[in-house]
Formats: sequence, C-alpha cells, structure tokens
Amino acid sequence: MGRKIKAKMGKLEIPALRAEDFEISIGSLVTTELDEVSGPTPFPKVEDLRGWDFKLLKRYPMFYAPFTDSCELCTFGKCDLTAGKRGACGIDTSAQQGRIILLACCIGVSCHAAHGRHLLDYYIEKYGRNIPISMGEGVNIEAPVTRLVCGIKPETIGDLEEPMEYVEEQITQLLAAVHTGQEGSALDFESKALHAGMLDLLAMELADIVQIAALGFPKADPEAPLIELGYGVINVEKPVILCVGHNVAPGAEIMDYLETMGQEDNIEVCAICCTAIDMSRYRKTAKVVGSMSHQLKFIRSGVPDVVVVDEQCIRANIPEEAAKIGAPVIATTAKVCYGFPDMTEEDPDKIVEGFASGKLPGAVIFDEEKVGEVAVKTALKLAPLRQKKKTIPSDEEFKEFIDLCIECGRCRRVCPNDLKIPYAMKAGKEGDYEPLAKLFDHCLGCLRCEQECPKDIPIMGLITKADERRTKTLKFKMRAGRGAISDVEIRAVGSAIVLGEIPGVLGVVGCMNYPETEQDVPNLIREFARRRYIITTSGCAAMDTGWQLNEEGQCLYEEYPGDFDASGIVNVGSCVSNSNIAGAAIKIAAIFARRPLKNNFEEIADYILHRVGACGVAWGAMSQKAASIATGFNRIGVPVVIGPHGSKYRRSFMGDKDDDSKWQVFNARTGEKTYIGPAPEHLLYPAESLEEAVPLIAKLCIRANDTTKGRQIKLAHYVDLHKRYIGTFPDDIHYFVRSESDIPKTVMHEIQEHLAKFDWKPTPIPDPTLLERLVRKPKT
Amino acid sequence: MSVTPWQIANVPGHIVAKKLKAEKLVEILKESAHPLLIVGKLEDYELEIAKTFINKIKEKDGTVVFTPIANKTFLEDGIKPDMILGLTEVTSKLSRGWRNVEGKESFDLLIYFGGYYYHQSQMLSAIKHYATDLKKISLNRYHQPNADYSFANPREQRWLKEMKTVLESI
Repeated sequence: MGRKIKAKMGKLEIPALRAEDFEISIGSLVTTELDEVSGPTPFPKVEDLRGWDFKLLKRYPMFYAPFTDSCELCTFGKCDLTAGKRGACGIDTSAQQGRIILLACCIGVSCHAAHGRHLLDYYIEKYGRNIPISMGEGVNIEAPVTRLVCGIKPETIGDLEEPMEYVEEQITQLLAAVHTGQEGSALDFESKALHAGMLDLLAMELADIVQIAALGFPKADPEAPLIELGYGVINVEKPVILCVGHNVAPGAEIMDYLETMGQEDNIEVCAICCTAIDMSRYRKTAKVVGSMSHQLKFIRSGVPDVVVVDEQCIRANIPEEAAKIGAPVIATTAKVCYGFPDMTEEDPDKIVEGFASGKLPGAVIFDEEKVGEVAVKTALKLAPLRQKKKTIPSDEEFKEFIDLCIECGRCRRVCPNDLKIPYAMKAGKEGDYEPLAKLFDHCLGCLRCEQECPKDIPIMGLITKADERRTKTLKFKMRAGRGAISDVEIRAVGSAIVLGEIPGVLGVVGCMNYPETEQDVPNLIREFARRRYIITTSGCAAMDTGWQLNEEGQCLYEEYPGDFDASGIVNVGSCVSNSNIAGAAIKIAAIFARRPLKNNFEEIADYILHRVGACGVAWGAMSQKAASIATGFNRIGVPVVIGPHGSKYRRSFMGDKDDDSKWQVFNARTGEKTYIGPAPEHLLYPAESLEEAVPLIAKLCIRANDTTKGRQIKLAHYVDLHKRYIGTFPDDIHYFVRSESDIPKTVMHEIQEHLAKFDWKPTPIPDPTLLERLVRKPKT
Repeated sequence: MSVTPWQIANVPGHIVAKKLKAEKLVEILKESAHPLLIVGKLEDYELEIAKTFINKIKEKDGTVVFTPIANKTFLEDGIKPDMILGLTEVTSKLSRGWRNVEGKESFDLLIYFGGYYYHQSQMLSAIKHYATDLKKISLNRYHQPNADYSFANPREQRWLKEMKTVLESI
C-alpha cells in the first residue's frame, strides 16, 4: 500500500503556463517497505483477522453482564432486551453488549488516533516531515506494531502518515457497524472490537513516536530522570501554571516560552494526568501533581493561577471550579472548547488583560505557541492578584459545614466507591476528623456527593481540608517515561521470559478508578518486583506507582532499577506509550524467536499467547481508552486483569478450564492436536480484590510452552501467592502440572498429594500453535 | 412499588427486584432444597450474621462458595467453603449452565452476599439475562434491582434485626 498524494492550487503562473484551479494527483508513493518476507495480512481489514479472533473467542468466550436491560440507540427504542428478548431492529442482548463494547473501543482508539494525528500534523508543520525516527540506542525495531500491522519501517515522522490514514479509515468502517441494522452477531461485534483494539496499539505507537522524535524525550533509557511528584513538590510561592490532559504540545510550548523569556526559575509548571508524564519527559523540571482524581482537589487548593487543558480525561466541570478560585482556563484543542470564545487570532496581551479583569473566564486558543505566551503572562499577572485564593473551607467554615450535616446518607449513595461519608461526618461533629481525612485517598474527586447534598455542603472540600496538612507535604518521585524497550534488553531477557525463568512481565497500566486507594498499585507492584517479575507501567498507574514511600523514604522507582529485566520497574510513559509494552512482547517474538514481523499479526499473536508470560493489569480501568487498550492486548495474546469497577465494561473473556476441548492446539512439530491446559486461563477478567488478583496474575503468566524449570518457578509463585493472599493451597494446580518435572521442589509434597486426588496423567509439552499453517510436519 | 437502588442511578430496566423482608426470606429459604450461597467481601457489621448464615446453609445441604477475599476473612474462624471461586468466575460458570457440584442436586436458589455493590449488581445482571431459570436474591442491606428479591436499604441495625429474625426461623 502506497501513500496517495494530492495537491491543489487555486492559481499557478509560470512563464510557460498559466492555470487556475490546478490539481495534481499521484496515485501512490511507496514508503519505506520493510525488507523481509511479508506475512499474509498487510494493513488488515477486520475480515482479514476474523479467523484469529474466532479462535481466541472459542477458547475465551464472552461473559456478558449487561449494564442496562435496554437499548436506546435509535428511535425504535427504548427496547427491552431482558433475558433473550430482541429489540425492534432484531438485536439481542448479547449482540447489544458486543455493540456497546465496539463503540467503547472505537471511542478509545479514536482518542489516541486523533491525539496522534494532532501531534503528527503539528510537528510536521513546525519542523517538517523529515524529523528522523530514532527510538534510542540499541533499538533497531523502532516501531514494532507498525511493522507488524503495516509492514513498513518508518524513518521519518512523515512516514507515519500512511499508517495513521489506515487507522482513521478503519475506525470509520468499525463505527459504521454500530449503526442500527448492521451487525447482528455478538461474536462479530467482538471481532470488530478486537480489531479496534489492535488499531489502538498502532495509533498509540504512532503518537508516541511522533512526540519522542519531535521533542527529544528519553529514548529507551533505563536511567531516565526521576521526576518530582505530589502536592508538596509545587512551590506555592511562585506563579503556577497547571496543565491537564494528554496532549503535550501546549505544555511543551509553555516550557519553551518560559525558557525563551528566561522565566523558567520564576514560574512553576505542573500537570495532572498523562500530560504531566509527557511534559516531564520533555523537561525534568515539569512537576507531576498526580493522577486524574486530583484535578478538582488541586484546583480547589487555589495553587494554580491558570489552567491549561488539552484533551482526554479532563473533567467537564473544570471551568466552573477554576472560576471559583479566579483562575482562567485556556482550552487548546477542538476536542475540548467548553463554549469559550475562540481567541486564536487575538493579541496575547489583550487575552491576558481579559483574564486579569475577570471578564474573560476562559478562552480557546488553537495556536500552541500563543498558548505558551498567554499562559506564562497570565500566571505572572494573576498570581499577585489572586493570592492563591482557594475554595477549600477555612477552619471555621469546616466546622460549620460539618454541623450542617443531617446524615441523610445521600452522599454515600451517589459515591462511586460507596464511601462512608455520613459516618465520617458524624465523627467530625464529635471532633474526630480522622475518618474524614482517611477518605481523601479513596475519593475519586467526582463531586457527585456535593451535588446531591440537600444542605449544599462542599463534601469533597471537607475531605480535602481534613487531610490538608498531610497532602500539602506529599513528595514522591516518578521515573520519567522512557518510551521503548531496547532490542538489546529484549535480547538479554527474551530467553529467560520465554523459558519461564523470569516468571512474568506485567503491564500495570490504566486509570485511577480503584475500588480502594491508589496504594493498591504500589502494593501490587512491590509484590511482583521482589519476585523478579518485570514490571512495566504507564499513565495514571505509573504516577501511582511512585505514590508510596518505604521505611527509608524511597519510592518504588528509587528502590528498583528502571531496566527491562528481572525486578525492573519500567515507566514507559503516558497512555500512548502503552504501545511500547505491546512492542516489547512483539519484539520478544521477533528478536528472540526470529519470527518475521512484517504483516504477520496472527503468527506473532499466536506466539505471544503461547510463549510470552505477560499479563496486563488495569486495576483502576475507567475509560473507553482503557477498554480499547485492553482489547488490543487481548488480540495480541496478552491476558488482562481489571479491578471490580471493570465489571461495568459489561464483558469478560473467560476460559473454562474444565472443558478440555478448549485447550487443544496443534503441535507444530507433528500436526497432532494436543492438550495444553488452561494457560493462560482467561483473557480478560475483572477481579474482586487484590486477594483474588495477585495469585491470578501469577497464574495468567503461565504459558503452554514454559520449560519445566520455568513452569516450576511460575507454579512456586502461584502456590505461594495463593497461600498468602487467599489462605489455601490452590485446588486447580493439577491443570498446570504437565509432568513430575514441573513440580517445584519447595511444594513437591503438597502438589503430589493433590495430584493423587485426581486422575492426573502427564501430558506432553508441544510446540503449540492455533494456526494449522504453522505446522512444520503435517499429520499424515 | 419498586425500591430505589442503593446506588441511586443503578436503574437497569423495568424488571426489578421485589422488596425483601425477613418473612419472605424465611419463606424462600424454606422452599429451597439446594441453595448456592456466594460470599464476597463483607463489611464488619455483616460478619457475625454471615458466619451463622453460612452454617445454616451448610446444615441444609446447600453449597457455599467463598470468593478469595471472603476465604481470607473466615480463615481464622476455621469456616471453610465448598469451593473458592472469584465472584466473576462463579457467575460466569452459572451463566454457562453450571447447576450443581458433584454428587449434589441442582441449585434452586442463588444467594449473593458481599462483594462491592456495583460488582454484585453486574453479576446479578448476568444471571438475570443468562441464567433465567435460577431464582436469585441479594442478602446485603443495599437494594440490588437485578436480583429477584433484595432488601430495601434498611439501616444497619434494622438489617441486623431482620437477619436475626431470619436466622432464628430457619
């Protein structure tokens, strides 16, 4: 597939020619083709990988838990779909669940694709198409997902236009299938959702490559700098600019402007959400406030003098909250305009004047450089005027508000985490503020409690106030996102991962919708890091990884190295950097096993599913992006564990370990159908608690092709974690013991006793594949 | 008249749970020959009731499933389930047609007790749509519209009183 070129000129005059409405089209320019044998699926359409999807879905069928009983997507409805009923269009509830999931995945991939498209267009316009792509020392496979899906080797950011166009075109096709009267099968909806997930891996990779190449982010650097994180790292004596969102371009321009004006020491630039991660990849002086749940809590603290928003996961009520502290809002992309006037063409000083007078609460500026200038000038002008005006109650107000509470309990019943606010308020009335303070870490910062309160008590404000003394001093560290995993690192650990000696690679990613607190994330990571698992992380989870200190006052990033090796904790970067985690799994197949990448999705996914002991963990998954990312990892053969809020995504992919027919593969050596056991057992699973999740994660790192030594190590961890977290010996261990040699010596007696209770027989270790075409010696 | 769900926006559709009271619960439990009790994460005030209730279910030859966190909770008391399964795992098995443990009759009643409200709600929804032959109740005080019967959000003390009445009657 080549790139089409079309140019149009209103008027062309050269000595030999005069033309009007002149248009030239070039059918195709061949971009940088990858010099290797092509697999069967270049730029795959959904139908090209449908066969692979159906193989996955046969082994891991959907388990649906509908969020609602009806469909209200068209004017036939509402249609009741309860328990087998069909809607007016003929759709049943299973297909409807698949349809909604496809929609969610389309939203997710669209966000990353639109984000990537903006970065691509912006930096091509600013620096040209020829910015070279280099992902770091020792990185030869610079774009593993792009090579796998599109078969090209991009050399400059201009080469990313073609795969980006492919993503955009495919999203349109997928979204069309959601329309009334299109797809009617749950299986096919899920196949399309898996396709959207794969496109998301590609879109994220393109976006991350652009920003790494254009902005000089750390490149596969295990020793990327440690970045300051937490409320306590912000110098509140200075004017403060707060950026919120995911798109680094405006934030980078702010820092550039500061440097140009020599003001970098006079103004604090901090950020929340993935913008924070990417700004700190650009300049290590950028400070990270925290994950998404801190947006309104931090704004109410009065610290920011101006708020700059870009895109994704930005709270819709930031303008109202910022207005209360007298901080203007600058919107910078067409995706989030908040109804503000477009001031792109206005003189920056006039905009600042409008902000300072209070007449202009916010503005849209579609010019990133101008955003830099306006944000800096506004912070300087407003800081002395605002005097850090905050909306967190004073000591007196705090007590008065608590006394207003009638303990009706409505706040609790709208709280996503069912927080026991009435109990804490009652304790507060009696002078005990500790229960209120303890809610801070559990609070998602959504404000549903406040809008429900019949007494208009600013409940989140009270929670923030109660814990203010502690939160103001919170200081942590986060390693800056390093981007890719280098080929050298993959070469060094590929064998240990595939053979099972490194028990697993975890991708701890996603949002902050935790069932309890963000401490779940560092607790989980610590458990696996000390067991020599490789931990990769990104986004909100990467920030929360740093949100805990050990007894020596170190955070996890200081305690463990940043390289892709046993016990390493690797922050790849923001949401779009998740592609580097998928990229690492792909590279293991390509570098260690020498499997060809070019247009060869099925074979690589089949390899990862059966050989690479990787498991995704999105403990606080909230967004549609998290849904599409997880679904992309699923398509490429990586199981994902999500937290209990993830049950609201409506769909899990669940294996049935008791059904032997589901665990049959081809032995690539002989062509025989062979039983491999339930490894990995599930593809997408919402766990209730860490007690369930931790042993499950260890179990989901088990792969069919583990060596006996590797299987021993994995089973030893599984047994130990099961005992520690659940309190018992796992009763399903017999499914995972293929031969006596698989049994870890430390629990040999217990396992042998367990096996004796079952009709356990040894099973062979095949060269497993679901793809018959990969059988080297067909059965005769 | 229907009851407002505990999490008030959790309105699934027009088929919603009926209000559960002690007398009705006693009646349902007495009618059931082979109940399946699924115990998830519990709150402190529910623990003593849960211990007694679990024993009652065992006495009537019911099946008790603990989720991993519930198993950890009851470990020190020496209370053991028939099976340990995740909340999602057991519900998925039921939606696939799992109806009995080896050597026992088919379940004729599902009792969900514990787990985060929203997680239990989703699991009850799966049963509502895909295991329509099973009667399902939620034992927590928080109203679950996707059950067939669920308490109507009584306060803790009221719920404890109701449950004590139930335990004395079965």
